[in-house]
Amino acid sequence: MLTKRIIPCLDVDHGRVVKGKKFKNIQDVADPVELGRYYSEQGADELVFYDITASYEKRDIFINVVEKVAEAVRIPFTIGGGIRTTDDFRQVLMAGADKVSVNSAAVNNPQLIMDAALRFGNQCVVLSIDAKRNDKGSWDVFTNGGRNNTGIDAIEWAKKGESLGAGEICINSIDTDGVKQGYDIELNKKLSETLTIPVIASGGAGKMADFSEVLKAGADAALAASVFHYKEILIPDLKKYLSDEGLPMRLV
Amino acid sequence: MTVAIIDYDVGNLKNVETALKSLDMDCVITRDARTINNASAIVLPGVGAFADAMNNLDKFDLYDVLVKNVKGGKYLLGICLGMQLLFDESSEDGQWKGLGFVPGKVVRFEDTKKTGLKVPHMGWNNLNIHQPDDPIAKTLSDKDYVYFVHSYYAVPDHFDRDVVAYAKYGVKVPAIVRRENVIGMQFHPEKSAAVGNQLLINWKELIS
Repeated sequence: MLTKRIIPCLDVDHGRVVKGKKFKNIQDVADPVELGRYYSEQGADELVFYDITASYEKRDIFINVVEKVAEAVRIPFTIGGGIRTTDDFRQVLMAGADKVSVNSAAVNNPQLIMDAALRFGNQCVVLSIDAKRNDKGSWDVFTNGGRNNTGIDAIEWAKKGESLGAGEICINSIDTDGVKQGYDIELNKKLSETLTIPVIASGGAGKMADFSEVLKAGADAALAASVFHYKEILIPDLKKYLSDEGLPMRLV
Repeated sequence: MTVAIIDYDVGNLKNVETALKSLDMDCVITRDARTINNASAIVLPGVGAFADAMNNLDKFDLYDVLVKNVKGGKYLLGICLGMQLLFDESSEDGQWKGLGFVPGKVVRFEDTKKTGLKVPHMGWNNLNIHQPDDPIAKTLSDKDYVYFVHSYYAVPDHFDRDVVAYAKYGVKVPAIVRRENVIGMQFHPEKSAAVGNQLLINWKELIS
């Protein structure tokens, strides 16, 4: 049976993981390669690395990280951040990434999704959407790290992304992100019912029951960062818990 | 012993190379006929569209090279799209002829609205072992998960004969197929953690 996926997300700044201090068994806690390897051994199903380095000139450092991760881990991983053109796709795919995540650049230029899907295949195009609830009972798409409200309906944008050739949607709720009170269940449920491609829930994981709730609501995968980085939740414990909850899991 | 990883412009081949090298296998990424002829085994990786892949094999004059080597008994491992190419034909965006090493065709998963299953079939699924005695599958159990990502799947003419292991996704999805020296894996062994690694070790023993 196809399992639900658990995906740790690592924000990388100048080649180092941001927030990742409380680790004991890892030599260099802020090294994305070491941390990626650790999560992979713990049973993570995939990994996501976001380049949050503000300076575009420092891109080489990050590409070097991607190459090292590809050498070190034997599970699929996605690269996001700083992807604006199909050549950016090419660069990280050639460095060894399996998928590439686009966000603001796709909102500004939806054709990028189609061009990348045609050139590299749908399977490697992940459309990442930052969504925030509005007062009309729906969600707006935000860009530039949640600073800019585009006024675009998030569900409609996801549908458009799917029709343009995205292979997956990663939906990040700005309302729940960092609050640790659970994922936006309604948003994830609605998206999962609407789309025919997999949905990755992001933003809000605080306890193991939060994962269970969003995966039962229909999300195919759940992404989280700090609960893993600060060891508040260990992946083997989480997967055992979710398996006991009746969710299909790959237990390592 | 050198493994030729066929380079025909269909995605990144480095991860396959990394995985094989970690098992101390000598490999070379190539599209050169002589190098392929001199190799002790061949890997045909690939992601993307069936038609593009076949066109590229044609463009680089690799079709005849592959046929000749396979007929001569050399081991060929097709991975993901590379496995689909082993079949007679595919209906991905038209009708396309494949390499014809394994009788059968490649078709799209049924519409999500009918099955309730999302397409692509993406993520970790467990293997059901159809031929437990086959050396490639000898280490496997049905609790072993591997990583899939595909929207089309193979329908072999002779399921019982040619399917070593399958996954369940609405239908029985051939995961490992084998006809003598030709082996295909629909999933990505190079991305399937310890289980994938073990499968590559099994293949290494087979070709040694």
